[in-house]
Amino acid sequence: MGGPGGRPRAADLKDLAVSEWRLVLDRSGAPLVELPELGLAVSLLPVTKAHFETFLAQPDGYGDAWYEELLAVNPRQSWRHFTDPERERLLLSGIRPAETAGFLRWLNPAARLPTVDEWRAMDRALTAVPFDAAAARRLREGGAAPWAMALLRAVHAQDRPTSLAGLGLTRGGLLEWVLEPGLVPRYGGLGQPRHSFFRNVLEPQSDAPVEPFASDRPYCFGFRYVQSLGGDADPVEGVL
Amino acid sequence: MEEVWYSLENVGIGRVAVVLDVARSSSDHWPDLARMARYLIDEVVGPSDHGVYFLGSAERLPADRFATSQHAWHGQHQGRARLLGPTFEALQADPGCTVVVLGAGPLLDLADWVGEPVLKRTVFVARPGCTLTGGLAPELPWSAPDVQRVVQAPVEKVTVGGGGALPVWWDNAAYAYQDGHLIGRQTDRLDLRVGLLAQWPEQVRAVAWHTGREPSEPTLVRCAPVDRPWEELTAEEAAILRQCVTTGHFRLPGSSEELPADRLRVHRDPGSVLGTLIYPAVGRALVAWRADGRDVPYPGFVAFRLDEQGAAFRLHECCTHRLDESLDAVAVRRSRQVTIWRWLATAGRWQDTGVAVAPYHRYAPGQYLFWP
Repeated sequence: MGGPGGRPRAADLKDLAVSEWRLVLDRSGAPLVELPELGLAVSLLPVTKAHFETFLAQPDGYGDAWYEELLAVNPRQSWRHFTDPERERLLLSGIRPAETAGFLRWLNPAARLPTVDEWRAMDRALTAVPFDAAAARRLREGGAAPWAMALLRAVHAQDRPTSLAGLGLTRGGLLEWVLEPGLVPRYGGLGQPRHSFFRNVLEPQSDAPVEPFASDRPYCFGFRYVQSLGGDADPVEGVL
Repeated sequence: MEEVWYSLENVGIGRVAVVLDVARSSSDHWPDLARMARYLIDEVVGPSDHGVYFLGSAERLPADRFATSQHAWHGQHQGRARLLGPTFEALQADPGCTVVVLGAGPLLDLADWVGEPVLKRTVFVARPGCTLTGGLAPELPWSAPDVQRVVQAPVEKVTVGGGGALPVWWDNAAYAYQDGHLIGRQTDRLDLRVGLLAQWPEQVRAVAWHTGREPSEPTLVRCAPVDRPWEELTAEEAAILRQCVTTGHFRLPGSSEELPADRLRVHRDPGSVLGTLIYPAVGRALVAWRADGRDVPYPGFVAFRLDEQGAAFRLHECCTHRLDESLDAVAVRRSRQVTIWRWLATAGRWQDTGVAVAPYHRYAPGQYLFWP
């Protein structure tokens, strides 16, 4: 059983039980959760502005003018000083799917946007991982960058999450870009932002991915990334 | 415990990090940014332990190579966004360094650093018509004299200490030993050469306290021990010295009166108020010391050397003097009283033992300590 490149098919993932998970860091210091049952490592949080800025600080980044255009859509908030209603301003949004490519390539050549099935499987898998004292200790001792820890601590204090999905804002974050494979691959958004940030109520496990609005830079669309464990071929390559 | 020697120069400036904006949108400003950086490095801070950074990078580049390497460095770094994060994370670890950010547009992540100590010692200088801080922190206009005035803020005092150190010699009378530190007060010259006994030499620091600016940390540079010359005593002076160190008394030539060794003057002539110096050579050296514009009582010691070749002395103008080869005992003079201080390992500090030091205390083979 299995899809192309040994990846599980969506149907295989419905009742996934997560027997093990591992916390690793990407080159920016952001936490990734390795889920061997899925054959994936997923970024625990949607990509934040501070996370993306580690790329923008490189000589071959996208530059200030591009970033200022993005910040006009969803202004930046200091990760050291923010309140609960300002939480979404820490997250990077307004980005187009194609614009994630440079960042992902710099981060890790294997990093990519998830497919719809992968996102939903990841959401279920992270929901199956309880956020308990042991998980909290793993995170505390994991050496993640201070901007990532600051957001995780705030989510913990504000939402009291019971699973890694809650801590990682698959709900309460953004609409996250996912790839809808097909003859003409296209992108949509999955997630369940807070009502204060996005009016519509969505159920990302069953509702179709949200199509971008007319706006060129939809303020509530961001992303998290995945990378295949074991070096599988990148299904998104060539689309972006 | 180790005897270490340091020199301290450019006290008013301390270490400086010049941080340059290399964002794409600032590329037209690069020649002016580089010119101001060169002015700061060449004319204001001087060739010392200063660094150059590019916004967005944590890499420290030596400022004394900026003139020759600026084009290559710019080529390697240009395009970095105007982000303080990586640079400030590196500079956080250097609390004595003054940071000068030269830029031509808004710093995208400045809000992350509001309230952080590194921001308090940072000077932002914006190109005309540009803003770096958007009001989150003060900015200086693009004016070399203004930048120079802030970077060279007047120094109120300098402290040297830490690392379980006790200074045993220094060459600048503007400094005094107080509460475990050598403290130099506002004066025209705060440069220093200093010898210390230090338990943890790598932790010895100099801190300059400025008017209207956060403290800076001028660099202490290790140097060779300062060789202070001895001056010969005459045969008559040597004879008196020999009596003092062997018997604790002395008789002047032609006199049968035995006098205690704790004095430098005798009153043989009823018409003389000050009396007569028993070591005229020492007296001349003390007069020369006072003639150097000092209006305070002599705070230090006179060291004597006595061996088969003859006798010699030298002034030790500081109130502390190393006592033995084990490096853990120092004579500390406070007014007329001199006591022995010892390193107390259990407490990790120097402590006054209360044991008085006698005149002509033998502190090394053939060497004796006296204080006028």
